[in-house]
This record gives sequence, structure tokens and C-alpha cells, in this order.
Amino acid sequence: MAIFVATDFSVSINGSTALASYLTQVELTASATDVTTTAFGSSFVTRVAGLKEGSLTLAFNQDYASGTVDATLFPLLGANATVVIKPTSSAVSSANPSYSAVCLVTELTPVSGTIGDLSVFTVTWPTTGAITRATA
Amino acid sequence: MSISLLRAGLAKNLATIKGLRVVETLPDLVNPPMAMIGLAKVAYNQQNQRSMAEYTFQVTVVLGRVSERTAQRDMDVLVAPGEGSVKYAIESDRTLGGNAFDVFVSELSAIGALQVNGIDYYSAEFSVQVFAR
Repeated sequence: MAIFVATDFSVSINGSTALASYLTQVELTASATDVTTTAFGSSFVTRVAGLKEGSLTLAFNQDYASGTVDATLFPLLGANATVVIKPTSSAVSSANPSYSAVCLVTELTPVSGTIGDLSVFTVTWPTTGAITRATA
Repeated sequence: MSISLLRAGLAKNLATIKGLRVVETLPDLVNPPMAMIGLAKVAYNQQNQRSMAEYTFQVTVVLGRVSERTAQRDMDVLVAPGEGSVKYAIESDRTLGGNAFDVFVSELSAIGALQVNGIDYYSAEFSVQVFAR
């Protein structure tokens, strides 16, 4: 795969990709804490990487029909959800890696809308444990 | 989603306005009172996996010669958002017969004289957003 336009992200939540088609944005971030190790005598700051953490942001078009967005996500509030993301819905490969993480569902926005616009909402969930990348 | 199904759904909803002829495509001849459905724009990829597009239709309503007082009075009813209006009719079945996620008349985009075959008709143009696969 080369540079691409994001139209076909595969996102599974607890093993189901049923909500992938309702998504309008996917963002998984990972970072490592910056720990300074600067000592007397140094003229520049020195650092080492500390603990790593991640965060997942998903933007949905809302749907209240059975088995769709609200009915699936609302019961997850306060629980862990396993999320697997691929750039496209094709099989996992070196050009289409999968990222797996367990997210703590800390927030939901079950009702959101502006008059005359689509009803949409965005969630950001912290990950718990490691984010793993697979190519096969 | 077939665009012709969306046109058909819009036409069916518009046909709930008594006395209004509805054509699903732009005709050669205008025979007022008439509503014509034209596709203006399609915004693709409104959801992941190509699962939704936003179609903008222009519905043009022609009621009669621009100088006719009754045409202007009738247009007032069709333009107001309440019962008997174009907005009310189009949104009467918001799934367009199960072919759309939603339909929404966002605005009256133009109103005034429309010249067809040398005749000035009193017309109004409505922007209609349809969300469908």
C-alpha cells in the first residue's frame, strides 16, 4: 500500500466490525512519557523514555436502531473494550498492519446534535495495557 | 443506492401535494403546476467504507405565469414550512421508501421568474439533502 485516502478503515470493537461503517474518524495515538535525566555538569537536557500510553478517538454518525451504534456502545460504558484497527478492510499484512488495544470506555455521548445537521459524536478512550502491532 | 430510487421516493412524497404534477427528471416542456427533480451534487464518503453519500437534489416548483396572482398565493403555501408545503411533503417519509437514511429540505434556494420557452413562470427551487448508501 502506498499513500492513501482514508475511506475503508476496519475497526472491530469486541470482535465485531458492525460499527465500522458508521465511523467518520479514527485516531489511535501512542506516546512515551518523557523523563529527564539531566545531571549537574550537563549543558543540555538529557532524557529517557518512561511509561508508554495510548488513546483512541472515534467519531461516529449516530444510529439508535437495534444492533447499531448506541445500542452497542452504551452497555460498554465503564468497561474494557478490545479494539482492533486496520487501515483497510483487507487482510492483515506488512502493508496493512493491525493495531490492537484494550480501551477503557470512559466516555460516551449518547445524545448529540445540531439542528439541521447529522447527529454525530466523538469519543476518546484511554488504552489499558500494551498496544500491539501485527503484520500477519 | 440507485439514484432513480431516490428520485422516485422524492416524487412519491411530493405527489402528496394535491394538484401538483411531479416529474422525476427535467422535462422538455413545463406544464404547471409542476415539480421537477434534478440532482445537483453528490458528496461521497460521508461514512467509513463508502457506506453513505450525501445527495443534494434541486426540486424546482413551477406554478404558473409570474404575473398570476393565484400562482403567487399558492407558492406562499408551498414555501412556508408547515402542512401543505414542499418541505412538509418531502419529509413526510424520511426514508424515501426505505432507500435513504434520512431526507431534509435545507432551504429555499431561489424564488422568482423562470423563463421557459419564452414564458416567464413563477418558480421556486428547494435544496434537498438525502443521506443514503
